[in-house]
Amino acid sequence: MAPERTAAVARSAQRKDGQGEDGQRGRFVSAERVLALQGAAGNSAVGALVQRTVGDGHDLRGNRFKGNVTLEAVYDGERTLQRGATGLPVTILQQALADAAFASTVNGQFGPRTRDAVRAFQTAKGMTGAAANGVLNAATMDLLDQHFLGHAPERAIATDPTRALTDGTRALSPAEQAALRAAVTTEQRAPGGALPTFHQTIASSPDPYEVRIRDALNADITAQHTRLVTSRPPRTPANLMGAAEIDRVAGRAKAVTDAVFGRYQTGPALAFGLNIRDQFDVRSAEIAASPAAADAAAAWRVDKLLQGEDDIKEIDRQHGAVQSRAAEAALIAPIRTAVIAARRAELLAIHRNWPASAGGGEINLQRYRGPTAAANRNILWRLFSTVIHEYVHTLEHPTHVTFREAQAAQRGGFVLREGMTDYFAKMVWDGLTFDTALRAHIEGTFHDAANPTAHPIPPPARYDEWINAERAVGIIGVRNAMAAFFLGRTDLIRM
Amino acid sequence: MSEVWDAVATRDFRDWRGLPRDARYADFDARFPRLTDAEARGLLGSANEIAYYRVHLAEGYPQHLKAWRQDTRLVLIEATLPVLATTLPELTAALGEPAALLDFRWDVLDVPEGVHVHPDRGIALFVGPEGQLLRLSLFAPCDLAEYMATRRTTDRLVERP
Ligand SMILES: [Zn+2]
Repeated sequence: MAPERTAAVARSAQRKDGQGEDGQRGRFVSAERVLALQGAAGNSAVGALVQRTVGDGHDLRGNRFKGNVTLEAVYDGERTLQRGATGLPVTILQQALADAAFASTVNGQFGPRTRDAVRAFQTAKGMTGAAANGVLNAATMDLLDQHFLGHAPERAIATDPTRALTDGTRALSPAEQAALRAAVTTEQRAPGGALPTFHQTIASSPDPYEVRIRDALNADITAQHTRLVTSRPPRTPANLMGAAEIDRVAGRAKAVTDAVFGRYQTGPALAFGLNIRDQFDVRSAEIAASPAAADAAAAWRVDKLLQGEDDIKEIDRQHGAVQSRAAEAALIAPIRTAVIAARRAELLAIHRNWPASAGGGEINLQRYRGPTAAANRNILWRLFSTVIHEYVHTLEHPTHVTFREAQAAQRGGFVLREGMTDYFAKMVWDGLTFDTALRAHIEGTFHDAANPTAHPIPPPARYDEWINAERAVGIIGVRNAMAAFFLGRTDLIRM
Repeated sequence: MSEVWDAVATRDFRDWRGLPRDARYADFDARFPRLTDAEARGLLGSANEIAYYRVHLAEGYPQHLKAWRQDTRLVLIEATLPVLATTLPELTAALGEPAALLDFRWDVLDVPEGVHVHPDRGIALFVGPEGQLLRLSLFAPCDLAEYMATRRTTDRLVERP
């Protein structure tokens, strides 16, 4: 879909879902829904079915299954999958059974072995008698969906000490390769390709498009400046986390990750001053070294808002605007220039104080402490989850890096880099027990010993593309995904 | 060997002829103190060769020295915003014509053809848009293809969600 169509679809999906039906940010839900609709849009014959089965408020939750029209229909009780069925839904089912340790061949054909595997799963889940019939029905689909939500089956495979690392991997069929390609592609295509008609003024707003964009930009910059700059304490040593504190958290991030993937690969822990650096210091030096770099940073901040901020996307949608189109671009260009000039100092302060950036196993982050013990606990938990993600990056096999670098960003390159990393990081995170010992280690001096488990732990920030990664794993299996990522067996993710 | 470390320490690279092919990391480690004992793993060049690095301290290198090793060999030294003993024009005059001008990225700024690569001299200068030296790479003499495949570092950081 063209971006403006996507934005509209995303918003309508988000309204329908509400924020966080599954406890995640609304942005996740909407991105997922867009993908589901995109997948459906490619096949007009199933359009009516899609209306009823995807986005009907009763949807599968695991990304392995979510959005697959057939599996959603099974979940809705509108059909079953049983002996004789063929195709991608059967492949996904068989791979799930295999990843859940219910012996299953994965060949896209629902035969007696698949029936037996479904029956074994049903029995293991306490279904008895006629209910354990080897047919994938709504109740069984629900149980299978739930089975993978915390990624316990994948962890069991990763940590099984008796298994050779490539045991259970398999070559992908051409159909599976095509499905994998589709799963990791985030390129947006419009069904008809038609762009919306631009209206500089609309009935619902007294201001023309460019005035609304200018006002929104200014409001966004003010909000970011308040959140990231004026709320920060002075940069005195007492207000900044030290190397020992950061290294303590980073060391535990390595330990918990090694506990899951250590059989595949381990690496050195990240450390402050080495591959964890102070973003404020790094960016201050970069900006100070080059006026052109400062100019670029100020402009880049405004462009990021123009392209990504929700309020601006909403204005674009209401006006049918496509910022790259000549008419709209002509209106935006002078506003962009004026805002960059007028708010330059604030934009550079925002840039220096942006929470974190990362790549290649290196992280730049802010070392600011928070105003309260609770705020400091949250800062440390976010540091912990971020370092888990970055540590996983350092475990990626060079052959996998080379493989994904050969893919365009939106055709697998980004999903295999950030999405797969985040999926593995989520496997680690979801297996953690947030007991007193772990809390005390991460929270350090801010640990509340009197009331250790009363405090909520902030959920990790994730790239939306982890969803695509898990969908891909649903097709190729977690054994293939881990062998490719950690061991460089990219022949197992050929696409 | 010591004249190689002397050039690093004095920040005068006009006569630089590259790291010796068999330069030992242990020798460098003995000469320049570590910022931290921790060692990181990263990838070098388009071939994504695994290498390990530490951060070492030296005067005139406000952002320190990033020393990369493979096995026991020191293969690459990187310095960001080094303070040269000479002016940059004095250095570039001594080095002569670069074999290639490559693009690099400085924070969010793309600098086209800013990397002056002298593979035969084992040095690459990352020159900013205003003509200042932003980064320096030191390695063993090689050809341009080998530099691109095994020594060039291009990782760019992206803002976290
Ligand atoms: Zn990442």
